[in-house]
Amino acid sequence: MSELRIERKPGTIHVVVTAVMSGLIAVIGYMTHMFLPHFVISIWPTTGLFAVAGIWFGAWGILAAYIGNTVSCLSAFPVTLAAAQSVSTIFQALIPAWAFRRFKANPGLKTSRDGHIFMIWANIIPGFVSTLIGPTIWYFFGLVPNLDSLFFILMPGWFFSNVVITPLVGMPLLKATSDAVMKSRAYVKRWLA
Amino acid sequence: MSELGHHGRGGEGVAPGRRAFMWYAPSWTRFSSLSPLTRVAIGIFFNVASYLVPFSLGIVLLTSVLILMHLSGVKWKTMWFVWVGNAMLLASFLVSWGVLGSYEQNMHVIFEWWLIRITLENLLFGLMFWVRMMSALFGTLFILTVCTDADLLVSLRLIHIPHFLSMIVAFTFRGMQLFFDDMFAIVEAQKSRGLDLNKLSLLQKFKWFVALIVPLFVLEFRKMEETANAAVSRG
Repeated sequence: MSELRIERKPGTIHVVVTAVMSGLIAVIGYMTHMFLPHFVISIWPTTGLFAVAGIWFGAWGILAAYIGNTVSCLSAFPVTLAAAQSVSTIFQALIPAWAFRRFKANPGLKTSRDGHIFMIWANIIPGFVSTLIGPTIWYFFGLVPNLDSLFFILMPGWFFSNVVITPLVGMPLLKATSDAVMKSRAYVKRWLA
Repeated sequence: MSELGHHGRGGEGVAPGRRAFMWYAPSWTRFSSLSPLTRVAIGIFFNVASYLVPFSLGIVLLTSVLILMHLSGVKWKTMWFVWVGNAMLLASFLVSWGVLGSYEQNMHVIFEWWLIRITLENLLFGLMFWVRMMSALFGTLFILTVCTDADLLVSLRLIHIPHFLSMIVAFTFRGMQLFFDDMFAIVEAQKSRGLDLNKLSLLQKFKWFVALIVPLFVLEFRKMEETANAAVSRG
């Protein structure tokens, strides 16, 4: 039986999916403010969603992660800082998106290999890159009292919260909903479609 | 012109106004006659300038933006969560700057214990950052209060942001209200089945929060196809 080939090209569905994904990221960011005490605000569940967005929706997911995080940061930061800080989220979506396509991993994390790829390429490496960018931008905007606080408190805290939260949020979401997403028109197999 | 929701015309038979994100504001505000781009520019001004001016001017900026918010006729009572968040933010800023701030000989120490040394200067610095953040925050809230998502779309188009990108941003702001409604619907459904958030520990609360994300995603992805089809059918 001949295989049914679906022509993939970017369309309205991808614009909508970017808006939906960025809206969800922003909403979950705001909800974190509301349901979790402020002193644990370093627990930022949306970090797990950046990887998911990149894996499912490629370039559209990366854009969604950037816009969503910028919008959710507007609840506390000026737009310049929100936009600058959100650069770190580009890498948190881009690196997993690249790795899952490069190593042909299943977004549903069906095998242990997929799980390992997620842990390394969607969790540890993007977490490290994000740690280098995000707190440094905070420092240059004057949000961090001094370099000691940056290197010994903020950066380790940022990295460990990322590394803990990403699998806790991302893995259940990927396992539970990837099959449905992959069957939909919105799923991006390559980068744009 | 319809009087529905016009500022300063409350009373019986008058619609409560427009829902602006998570709070309520009149459908027609004092600023509605300005172009959408001007309204956005006013908010962005407070949002950005707050980080560029000295402390004393920061207080002036914060006061000004609060006055503008009040003039827009926003229903302050519906913004309770903003005040709760602000109070927590102030506390966390005072603690983090007070405890972690650098120490110099000429600073005024007001509390000292073991390695912790809280100085008046560091506390004032924390307060200064809180004031800056508040100006930035209320600048953004001002935009959300006086602009609809259609206004945002128009203003983004006016500054020549590509059409698909301005659509995404406008859709995002529009969608956020709907997502909040859906999320609260899920929370209410869980509460009706016996969920008591007050009895949950922090770890349990976090687990519950993660479990909340999955049904929300499923719900929104179902709606997504319908939205895309509607967008295509409207050209």
